[in-house]
Amino acid sequence: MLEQFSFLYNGIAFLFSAEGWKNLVMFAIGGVLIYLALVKDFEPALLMPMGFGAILVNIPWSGAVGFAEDGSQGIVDWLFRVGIEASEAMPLLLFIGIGAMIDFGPLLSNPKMLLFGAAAQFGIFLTALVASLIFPNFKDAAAIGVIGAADGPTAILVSKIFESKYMGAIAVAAYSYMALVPIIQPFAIRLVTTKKERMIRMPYNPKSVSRRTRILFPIFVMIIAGLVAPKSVSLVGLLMFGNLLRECLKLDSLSQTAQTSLANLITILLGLTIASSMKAEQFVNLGTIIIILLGLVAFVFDTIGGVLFAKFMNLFLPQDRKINPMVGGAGISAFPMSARVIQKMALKEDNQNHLLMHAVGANVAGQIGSVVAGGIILTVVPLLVQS
Amino acid sequence: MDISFQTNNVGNALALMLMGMAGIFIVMGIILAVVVLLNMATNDDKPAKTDKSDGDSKAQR
Repeated sequence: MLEQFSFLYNGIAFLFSAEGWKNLVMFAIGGVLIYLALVKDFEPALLMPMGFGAILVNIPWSGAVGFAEDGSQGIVDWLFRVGIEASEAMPLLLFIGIGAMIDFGPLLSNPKMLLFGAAAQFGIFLTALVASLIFPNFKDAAAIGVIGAADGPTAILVSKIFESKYMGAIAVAAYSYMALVPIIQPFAIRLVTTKKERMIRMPYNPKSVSRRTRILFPIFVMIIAGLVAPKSVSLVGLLMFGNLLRECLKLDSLSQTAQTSLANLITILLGLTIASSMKAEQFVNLGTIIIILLGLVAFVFDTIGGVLFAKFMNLFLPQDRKINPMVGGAGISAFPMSARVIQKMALKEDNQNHLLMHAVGANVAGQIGSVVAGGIILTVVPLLVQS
Repeated sequence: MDISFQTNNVGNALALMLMGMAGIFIVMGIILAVVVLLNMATNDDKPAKTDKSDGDSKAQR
């Protein structure tokens, strides 16, 4: 008689069984992500759906994952199969929206900031090196390093193409640390700079940028990046396509759609979809904890890389044209958070020192640098693994 | 769980670091040169009016 009502308590019984404790851990992790999103305002657009999805897929025998008796697939797994596994569509389409949101004007009027967008990708490779000491699969190590791209879609894309089983942890780390930039970057910058260096003033005298330059820029970037790293074409291409929608000024409704409806729709689905790789048996393990820690290494050394490069450049610049090293730290892809952090740090040291536009230039350069880095990793790692 | 301290891939990781950083700097350097040339070539054009919808706080995804 009691067995007829077993469906009422089987799920709860499983949670408190020897196999079910990991599901409880995932409930807690999902709760923490939702808390960070809604209470602390840490990347709510991504962390809330991811947190919710983490709980959704870890309810025992969840109908949202796996296959039902009639052969139909759970919605979260289906979204993952169609939106990420089949063609990496979701992160790539999101790039159209991101590209449409970015104003490259501050960068185009001060193009040497592009170099900081390169230098601040250092954390990716250092983290990949450290990860390679721990994870025997080199592609996993490289995918973990891409947390340092500070760019969720790039991290998801690379981990999918490399078939890394740590995609869930990588995505959680990437988005969580992006939200923690206001805490991580000041710490990292103070480690490698002096107060005097942080007080360097940089006058802002922007050169005017023509509409033609703004239109040709995304086209040239796509071609250049694509010729060097063909596997970056989808990443860079869609980012630049979105930017061209914005800059051509002929397709305002499409630009607006990309910035709002498209970006919001993909964001809603992407967060839930990533939860497909947050099932307890995949996520609750030592590897996840190590990856979360390595993500911190990535962001710290991204910042340090950019700052040290700025200090290196200062060796060759006259006194009145020195670069405030903090601007180098803005070369990570966490836009616009990083630029605001640098501005705030500069004003704290000297309330007349406005570095925002310089930092914005470096920050948007980081958007390009991160996708180029992702493309280079996608190109080079298979060659290294084969040899 | 396949996690253990091992150095089999250190060579690959160092090679990736070298090629990766060199590659990024080369690409960004080429883009920098192109931007400088574009700015010089379009110097006589009228400065662009910026798009009002900046998406400033939305771009971090």
